[in-house]
Amino acid sequence: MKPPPLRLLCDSNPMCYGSSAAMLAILEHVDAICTAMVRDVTAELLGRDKAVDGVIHVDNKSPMAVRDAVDLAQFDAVLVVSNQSNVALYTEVGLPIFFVDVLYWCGARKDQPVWRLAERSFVQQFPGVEERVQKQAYREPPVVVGPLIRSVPAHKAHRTGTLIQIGGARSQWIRPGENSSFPRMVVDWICHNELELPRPWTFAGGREAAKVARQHPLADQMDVVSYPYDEFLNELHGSELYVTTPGQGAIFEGLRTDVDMLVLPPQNATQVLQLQIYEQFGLVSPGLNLMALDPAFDSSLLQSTEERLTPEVLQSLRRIDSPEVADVVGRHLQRQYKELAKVRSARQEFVEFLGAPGGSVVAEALSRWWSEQWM
Amino acid sequence: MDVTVIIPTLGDRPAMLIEAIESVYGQMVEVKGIIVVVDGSDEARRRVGELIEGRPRVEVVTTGEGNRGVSVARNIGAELARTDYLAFLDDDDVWRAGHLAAFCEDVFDVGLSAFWKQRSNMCAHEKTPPAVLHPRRFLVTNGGCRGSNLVVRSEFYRSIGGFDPQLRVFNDVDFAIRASLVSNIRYRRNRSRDVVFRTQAGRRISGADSRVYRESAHYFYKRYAAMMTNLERKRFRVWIATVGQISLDETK
Repeated sequence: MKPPPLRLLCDSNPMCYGSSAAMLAILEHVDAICTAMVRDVTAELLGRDKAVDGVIHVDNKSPMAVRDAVDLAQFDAVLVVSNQSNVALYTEVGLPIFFVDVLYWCGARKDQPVWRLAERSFVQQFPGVEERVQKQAYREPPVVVGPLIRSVPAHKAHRTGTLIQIGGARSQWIRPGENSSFPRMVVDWICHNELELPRPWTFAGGREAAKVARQHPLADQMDVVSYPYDEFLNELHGSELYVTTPGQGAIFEGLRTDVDMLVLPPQNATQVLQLQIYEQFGLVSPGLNLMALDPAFDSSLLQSTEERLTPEVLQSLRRIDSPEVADVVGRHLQRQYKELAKVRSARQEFVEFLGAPGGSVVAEALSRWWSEQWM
Repeated sequence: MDVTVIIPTLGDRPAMLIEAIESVYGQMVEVKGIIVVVDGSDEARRRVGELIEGRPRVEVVTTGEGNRGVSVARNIGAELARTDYLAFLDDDDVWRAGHLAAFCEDVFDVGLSAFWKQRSNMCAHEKTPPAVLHPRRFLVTNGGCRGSNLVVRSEFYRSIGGFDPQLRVFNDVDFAIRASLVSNIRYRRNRSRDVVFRTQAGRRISGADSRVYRESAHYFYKRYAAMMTNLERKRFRVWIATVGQISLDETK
């Protein structure tokens, strides 16, 4: 029996660029009518992407708001990426859940109800993920998938310029405005130090970040843009050099594109932890993390929860907002650029460790499940 | 495992019945007993009894009149069973060794294993039961309850009245819906494809002609239409038309 079109509700974490980017990396392989719940960052990414057929503006961190705004009976399944707020609601109305955790290696607990209530669950590969899966007593362990990044567009013949990306720093514990200095600091690190990086320079960030960056007096040295995801990837593939915060998807995309890449200091708690791992793997030499830049940083909180680490990270970012630290970061970036050859083998090893992009694996599971229902 | 296996049969395909029984003996856990319920006359019961004579822990009973339907046959077997759990197996299906073992170290009300349909030793299709038992998963498709993949706590089975004798068809999804409406049900699924449905020339024990099929579909629809959205009602018609091989007009 030929299945009818799958009506898929899409629920990604509105606090996290990576969650929505991962959602799009899956949706580009999914044959379904896709409706995304959007708010803030998710509206920026999902609301203007051709992989999404429609959006519902709703605070999808609030099950009550979702219940009021979304007619859940109109959907056959929900694809949830790193947002557990509505799991009980979906279960109550009988909406099958496909759950993806993009930050499985991070966070105190991995035994929440979603791990037994989801039809299928997936976790994005990262150092520590497989060990953690094995330690948990899941009745049905999640499938570990490769990087949830979009397909690589055709390479441009000539790569030129430098693309600097900072995404958008949000988390459950960062309120708007609390780390608004970071885009300005990045402009400062690059422009004030007159780094010898390929020109022209393009600064890519979320709308709020781009707005802040444009206010820097030296911002006229770069083109400050807030790209839709597809356009960002095209820009990345046409760039000679990529400078990025130590996010997850942003680094994965740089590695997959095989563009020369420099790493910036972190702007939130998970990036602090990720940068530690990138340093351990030799993707970037030590010296850029908050523990190195800020002698007052309380390293004991690294073992704590994101909730407890975040205020310390935000305070630390304020402490390193100084000309002295800008000089240190500028010198580090320049050294990274001169020593790109030194990280090539580490990059290759890390790419092999991560495996092939995983969006199609999740999409295939969805498609297979939907077909099964109609047999 | 404290489980009785109930095998309904028309008694008309002895080789398949033997294979079904052998698949019970081949389980990784030993069952307490097997009740073969012949939906036929005493003569049919006698023939089946002779066929399986000498096999341990098997009892053969009959529905009495014959052709009373698979729901009646299963319910008769369930009434006779004295174990904590019941497992059902149609005579034309078989289990792989891990089916019952997947449930044996747990306390639950309803358990469902994934199944696949075998055609010429190939997997023609497969289905995994839902992670959560919810009526919506059974209203317009069979979400994964096919009788032969069902293991159920005896007391729970009786508390919801077993299979509905009125339903020659849709009895499995009807059972799953009624079970899922029980609050705090302890449900387990086994994602390993341990139940095999086999394609064969004769009619299935749970099969029916088009008249009976339409009657069952109508009965099922009357019972659950109020729970369906408009789209689900349309999908239900498409479902029964396709599975029952009848025209959409006949589903009105």
